[in-house]
Amino acid sequence: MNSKNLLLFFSLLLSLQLAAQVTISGFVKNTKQEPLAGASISLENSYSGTTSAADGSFSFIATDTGTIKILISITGYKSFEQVITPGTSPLVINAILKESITELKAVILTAGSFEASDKKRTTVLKSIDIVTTAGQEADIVAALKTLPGAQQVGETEGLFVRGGTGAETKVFIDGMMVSNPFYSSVPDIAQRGRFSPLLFKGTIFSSGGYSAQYGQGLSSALVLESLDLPTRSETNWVISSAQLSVTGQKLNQSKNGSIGGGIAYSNLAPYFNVVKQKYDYTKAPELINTELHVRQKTKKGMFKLYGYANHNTIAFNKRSVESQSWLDQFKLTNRNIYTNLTYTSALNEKWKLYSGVSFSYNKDNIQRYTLAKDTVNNYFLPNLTNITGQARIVFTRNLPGLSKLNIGAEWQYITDKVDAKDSIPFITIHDSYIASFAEADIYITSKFAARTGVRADHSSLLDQTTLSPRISLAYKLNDKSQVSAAYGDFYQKPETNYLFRNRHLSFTKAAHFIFNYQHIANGQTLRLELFYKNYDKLITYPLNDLTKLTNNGDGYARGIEFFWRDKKTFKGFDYWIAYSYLDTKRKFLYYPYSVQPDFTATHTASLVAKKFVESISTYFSMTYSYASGRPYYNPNRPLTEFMKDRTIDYNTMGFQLNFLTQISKSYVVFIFNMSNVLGSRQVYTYRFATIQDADGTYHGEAITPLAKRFFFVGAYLSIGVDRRKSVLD
Amino acid sequence: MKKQIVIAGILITCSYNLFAQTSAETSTAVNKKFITAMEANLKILDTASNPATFILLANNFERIGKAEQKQWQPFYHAAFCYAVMALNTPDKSKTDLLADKAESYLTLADDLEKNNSEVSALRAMILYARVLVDPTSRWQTMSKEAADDLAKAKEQNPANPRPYLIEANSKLRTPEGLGGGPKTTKPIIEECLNKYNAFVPENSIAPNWGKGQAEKLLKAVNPQ
Repeated sequence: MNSKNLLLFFSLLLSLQLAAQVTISGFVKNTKQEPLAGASISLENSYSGTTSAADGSFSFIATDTGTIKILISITGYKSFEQVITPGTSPLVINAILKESITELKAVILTAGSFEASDKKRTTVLKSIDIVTTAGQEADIVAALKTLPGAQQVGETEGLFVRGGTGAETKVFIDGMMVSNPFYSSVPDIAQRGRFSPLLFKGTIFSSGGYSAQYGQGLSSALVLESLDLPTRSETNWVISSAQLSVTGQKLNQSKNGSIGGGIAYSNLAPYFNVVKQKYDYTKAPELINTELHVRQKTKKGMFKLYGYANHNTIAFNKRSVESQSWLDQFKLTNRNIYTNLTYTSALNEKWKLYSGVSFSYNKDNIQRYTLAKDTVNNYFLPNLTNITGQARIVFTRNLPGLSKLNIGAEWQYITDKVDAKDSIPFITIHDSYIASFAEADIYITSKFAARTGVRADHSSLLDQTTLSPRISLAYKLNDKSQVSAAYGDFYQKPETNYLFRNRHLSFTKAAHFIFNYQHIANGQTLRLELFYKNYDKLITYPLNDLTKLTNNGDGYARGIEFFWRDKKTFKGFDYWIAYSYLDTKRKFLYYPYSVQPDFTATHTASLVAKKFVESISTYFSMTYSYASGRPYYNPNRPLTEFMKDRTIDYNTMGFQLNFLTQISKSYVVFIFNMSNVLGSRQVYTYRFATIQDADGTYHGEAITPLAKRFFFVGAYLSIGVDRRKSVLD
Repeated sequence: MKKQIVIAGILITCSYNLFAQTSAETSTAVNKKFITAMEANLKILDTASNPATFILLANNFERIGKAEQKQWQPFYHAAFCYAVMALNTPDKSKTDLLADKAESYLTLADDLEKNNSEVSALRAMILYARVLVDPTSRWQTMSKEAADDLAKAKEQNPANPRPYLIEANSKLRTPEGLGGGPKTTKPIIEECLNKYNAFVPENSIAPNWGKGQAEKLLKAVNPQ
């Protein structure tokens, strides 16, 4: 302290003697009697006050007179208030502060779900993890396949979760179910998701026990939350071996609205010329899609409009499994429109409104011919149309702490049409599907939370109403770890192709029981999950007789899953390991009795590793996945040995390199991606002929990827529109 | 020594109200009391280095700000205290909490003083602190936002050296491939120092920090 300071010090001390004054002292502690340091102690509308010391104690001299409020506050605790009347004798205030329930500290309802989000800080994954996970070019589902619970199914699109089929995972965008989230099915070639991960700020992958806000997914829900306003105007270009696209978005000057759109053209013909494929493509996959989004903030809420339209074609010939000399011809033309308009608003301090409408249209023109030396042996030429209109409304009531109540309803009107020359008559089915739900998140303390809800679904087509209770509990053991448990009933309508044949089916059902342990500390995450699922009323029919559909199927799935993510041990190196053990049996579809389904592997594991090498601005990522052999149906065996065969184990290793750079004012990311680096032989399943050949056996063929490896080379350019000049306008 | 400063700080703060005790204060007296209180705290802030002092000062500024109701500087300086802590805390799990607190003070300052260059610059600094928590997932969005805030700050007051200082600080930590590194930082820091040399704070309680840091940065970008 220099002399000037000292002087000031003494003059202040001196002045202390001159005014009316009273000493206010005491301590600040939490309910556990632990001292709280750094708390602010103040008198309302006065400079008087102080800060609590390391031992929680404080003392200051107040000169205020009359009745005055003393306020004691510190982050993470509810403020302490007391009205005092300073007189002449010293006052002692001993404040016990109650912990406030904040998102950062509170227990999280995690059973069954993986969340990728940047907003919430406790999520296991970040949005960027979806984009940078190797082995795919930014396909949401492909990234989620590296998480526990998901199967490595390569011949059909969708997420196969815990013994469920791909159709048992439903995709939701801003709360609304998407009828056709994947490009239309092509035999034995899994299709990508339609929507880019770059459209979403949050992804929740629930492998079971999910919220009553969502329905229709017997096994799983993939909940996507669209982006809010962009932070600036920009134009993005993608130039790659598969695609050419340009998207742009413009943020208005007052930063409360944006408009954006884009167009993408993709054609794999040049790529297939270089990298030979197993099938003979007469029309390599070609697609054109356009997008539009408008976002507008209002005083208390936000409007979001998203529109998507797509047209794609694919055609190929392959040798028929039925006979060496036969040829299968396949052609698909798909048109898809998806629109989604949502409005979110705070109605008042306590109530919030989420509302939305969506419309989707999907049309598939399929041509399948089997040719035997230029004569058509067999053909199937269906046109499939799906039109879905949807409306949803949810009211959220904020309760003290983080507790809240959600009440909502949704309505879908679904029309499905099939018309095919000759083979089946023209069929149209309509379903008016209504659901309502109520769900409460109750934080009893910041350590213990419960989510209880119930959902009612009604389908006019099935003429059936179901009631599904859902409950999820979470308890925080300490700062870093928590346990949670969930139970729920889930109902799903039978798939459309069954409903075309028989409208007297009922909802299929599953019950989920989940127990979860999670430990998150210093960049390391450990998750263990145990689950049991019981399936009932599954669709089943006698082998080769689709006319006799019933709901007599059932089954179970149980298992244990492990997830470990570590960003800490090796500096700048981030990796995760996922392992799933699955024990499941089903009697469904053509299965004569309960067996392990052909889309399930007992053991599945993934290793994902990422490293950013700063010196060369390059992001490396690697994914290795393993699945034990899957059962397949071999008609050459007696029925007592149904599904006894197993494919070879599945191994795949993907590699991705992102090189980030800046060219003048635009950010550029060069991407190189390669699947199956090790060139392992991969067999998804086997298909067999429906007729026996000359020596009385059914000929079979392995279903494998169309080429040993898939390569992707591309550049993403992001050009910011410099609008510094307009900032002040 | 630090402890002494803290003790002096406590005493100084709790005695502010003694200077202008009479209830019939004129507005100049209020102003004088306010200026004196602010000056005393800013003096401690100049040499503050440990979190306890920053918390103490932020609390002091908050009390002054809440009592005054119409002055933006107390909330600005309280936000600054937390922004510095957010940038420097070794425990990255604490950064967001500190940044949240800084932002809540800054919003109060912004409400009282719209379109202020210092407020925009400090907002960028808080965002850069947040980026440090998880650069891979935050860099892309948050640093764009921060860059926008800095552009705004420069526009709002071209003479303000602090947006340049914050920009230089972040550029120096950014890999060369992403438009960072000493080479790109050097002209910014030079411009920044020119602005510091010409800068005259509006008054004794307006933001006036960072010159020393700018000089250190210049040394860092000039290889010896």
